Amino acid sequence: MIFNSAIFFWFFACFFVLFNFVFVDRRKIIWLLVISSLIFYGTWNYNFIALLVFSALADYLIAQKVEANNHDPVMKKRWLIASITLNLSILAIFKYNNFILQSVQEFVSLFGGDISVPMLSIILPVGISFYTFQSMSYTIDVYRGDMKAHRGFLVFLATLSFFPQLVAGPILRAKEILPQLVNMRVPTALNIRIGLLLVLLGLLKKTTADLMAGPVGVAFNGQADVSTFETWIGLLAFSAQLYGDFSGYSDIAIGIALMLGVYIPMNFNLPYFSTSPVDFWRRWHISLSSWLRDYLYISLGGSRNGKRARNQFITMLLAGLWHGASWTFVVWGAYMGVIVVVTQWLNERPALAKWVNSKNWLSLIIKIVVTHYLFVLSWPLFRGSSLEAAWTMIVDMHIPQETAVTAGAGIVMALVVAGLFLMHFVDALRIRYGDALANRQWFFWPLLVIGFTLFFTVGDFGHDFIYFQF
Amino acid sequence: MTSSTSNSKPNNSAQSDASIEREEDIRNARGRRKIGLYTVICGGLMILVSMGLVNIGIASLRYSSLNPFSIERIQATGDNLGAALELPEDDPREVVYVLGSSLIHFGFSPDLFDEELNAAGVPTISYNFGFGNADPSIHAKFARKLARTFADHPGRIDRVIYEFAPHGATQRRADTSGQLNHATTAILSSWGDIGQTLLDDPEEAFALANTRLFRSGVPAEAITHMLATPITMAKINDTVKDRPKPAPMDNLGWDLFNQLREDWPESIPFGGWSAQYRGGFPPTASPRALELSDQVMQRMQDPVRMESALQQRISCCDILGLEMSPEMIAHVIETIRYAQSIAKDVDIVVMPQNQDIVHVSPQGEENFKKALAEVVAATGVDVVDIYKEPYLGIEYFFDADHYTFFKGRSKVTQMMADHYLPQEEKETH
Repeated sequence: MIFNSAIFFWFFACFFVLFNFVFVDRRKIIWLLVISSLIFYGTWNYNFIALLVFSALADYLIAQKVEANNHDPVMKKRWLIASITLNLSILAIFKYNNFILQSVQEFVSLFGGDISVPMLSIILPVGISFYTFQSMSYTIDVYRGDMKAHRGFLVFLATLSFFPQLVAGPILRAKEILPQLVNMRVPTALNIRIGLLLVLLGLLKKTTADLMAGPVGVAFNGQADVSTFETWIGLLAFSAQLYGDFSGYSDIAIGIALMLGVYIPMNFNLPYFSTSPVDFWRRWHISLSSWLRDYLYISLGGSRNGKRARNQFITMLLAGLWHGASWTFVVWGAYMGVIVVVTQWLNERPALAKWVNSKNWLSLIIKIVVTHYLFVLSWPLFRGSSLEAAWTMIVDMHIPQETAVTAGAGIVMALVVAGLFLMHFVDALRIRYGDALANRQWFFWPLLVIGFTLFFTVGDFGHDFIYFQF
Repeated sequence: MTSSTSNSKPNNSAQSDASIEREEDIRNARGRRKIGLYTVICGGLMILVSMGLVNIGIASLRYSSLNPFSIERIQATGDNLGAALELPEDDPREVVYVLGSSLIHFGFSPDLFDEELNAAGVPTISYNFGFGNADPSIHAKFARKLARTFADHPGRIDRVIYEFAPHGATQRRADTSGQLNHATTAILSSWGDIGQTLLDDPEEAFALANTRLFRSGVPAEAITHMLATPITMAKINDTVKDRPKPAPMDNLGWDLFNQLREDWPESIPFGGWSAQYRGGFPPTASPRALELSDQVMQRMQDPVRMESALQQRISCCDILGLEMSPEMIAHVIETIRYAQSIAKDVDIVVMPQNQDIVHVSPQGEENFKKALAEVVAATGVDVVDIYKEPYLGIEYFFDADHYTFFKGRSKVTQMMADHYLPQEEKETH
């Protein structure tokens, strides 16, 4: 059940009526939220509902044990380790099993060994990386004393399974959302309008992303016949597709939550206007970046003891692995680590200080273009089927191919660039003027009518959200 | 006493907490109702206005331009499937239903067909139920609807002639026909069918219901598909970019369209289904329309345009390689079986191809022969094979596979009718 489908529209309409008009008692509303979220999740594969509930129950109980052992640091730590081990084991079994087995097999064969390990045919539960991280952060927060263990499993389950953000984030911390579900604040009319605006922008971004699927497919699936120009079209289209798809999903999730009275922080902040890789990761998938910073980077020691570069590299490497169970994602993570460390080192050179701190338009544009180039360079790894295919594509990007450019490529490039720019432009307007716009209803509602008319008019067939696979 | 007092204090406190919580819940519920109502009214109105605007746009496309999605034609053919039920029970004429693709829609004239057969002493009344933008999976749904329409009147249709277009059942065609199949499925499915889909694929069922109820049968994907046509065509035309530019079409196409609308007020030239002409077009038109048609066809028959049209057919349908789709062949068989369930006789026709332009590869010929044999073996139908005999060249076509409105249509209809002439007539013909 994806957000831009007819079935979700009717699902949400029914839920909204029950949520606002039928139930009074907060416990019943929480039940409604849990049941609706599990139905929403079950439409992908109902077998994994049990896994989600198990994951929540385990962390709910462990967090209480952690808190109960506040007086005994050793036991407290053991319970925390139990939670982390359990969550990582779930990820290892359901997401990384075949990658681990295959890698072991290949490693042994490097030394002339031959072990034949049967691969497991386990389907990846949708959203597992998101809710596992969310659940894990709860026990860590309780361990650190950042929040108290919650008494009442149903509310905790509602927190973890909250359907707007269940399958593709943003990754929420329990301390952010749990109090909101306990209090069940009534949204204001302004919340509703901003929520609708976010839903509309998300839908339009998702539509734009889907339209990019064509040129992306040409570049990534048909290397033999693709010119250098079309390779670039495909890669820029992938920039637009990835951003439109994922930030579109996040916007819809945030908008829907806001319409229910739940505030979720923004997950993207104009990432393609970043002036360095570090800046990019502060603006892209903010909930993951901040999760990794708070629970991994800082746990590794952060920037203390002169180990910042090492810790940054490890964090980005694991961020790569979080995205997918394959060597392409590992190398992608390593590449991210390298560009983050190297560009930060360069930024700190006194000789470059003037350039780094310069705010003039030309230097900003150059920094934005260079940063975007560094990320475009990584897309063959992120989207490619293998390391070899990724390398071929990187070569094709830089060495002109003999294949002639097909007619229409110029129009496609213009449309791709326009799509990429437009999404950021609209986001920038929304960030700056969103509230003011929602307050001027005479302008707001007609604008929404135009936007929804556009959304209902244009569509591309059958595209799931890309980040579901993570 | 003491213990009683000490127990009652927490109880009182708990009761008081519960009552505060209850009051808060009631207050919140009131607030939620108010804000819910606001959302339903404002948001609902906004969605309704947007859907209204979309529907107005779609309707204007459907009814007033060149049938961009074939939706109007598909809907109209589906709505008129029971046309033969309006004939008197004792009507002596043989009822012939012709189903198929746009080759039938534009290439079969019920009037000419009946005229030739009536003259030969075989009284028939035929109907054209061809429509474009559909593959055999859609034909199967159409035939299912036909079977339901005539379920209580078995044998009322004497003959169904179903066109089996080789390039309509290829793997490439199957891979590229998603958007419009969704629209057609929405139009041709009954609510029972959509209910059945709900059990297997709830997302698809909701999408079908939405497309049918709120979008006049046209999904957003179909509009995008149409908007993307210039890019698709630019890529296809790339193959002929080094050749001399053909004479421009100017406004000739529109002039012809408008003239035909004037000449045939009862029939929407490219969409709709005219009861008067039994789904086809009148055999002839005004001299002005004929002259315009000649000019249009002449320009369309320019070798560069023809090559471009061929490339388009290669791109969408693998017209030369003909790698057949087993799934599509299964749908052809399904279509025939539905027709067999209500008609006395069912034939398949393989329509003439543009032999000046379309040179199917030997492997393609082999693939098609195999597929045809499979269909015949599975259903026992007779084949009206006018695929290559007699030779039809470019003069009968306005693109790679469609027949010209007058000359081509009349020739092809005559070839079909010839097949049903009595033996002695065939010999003299």
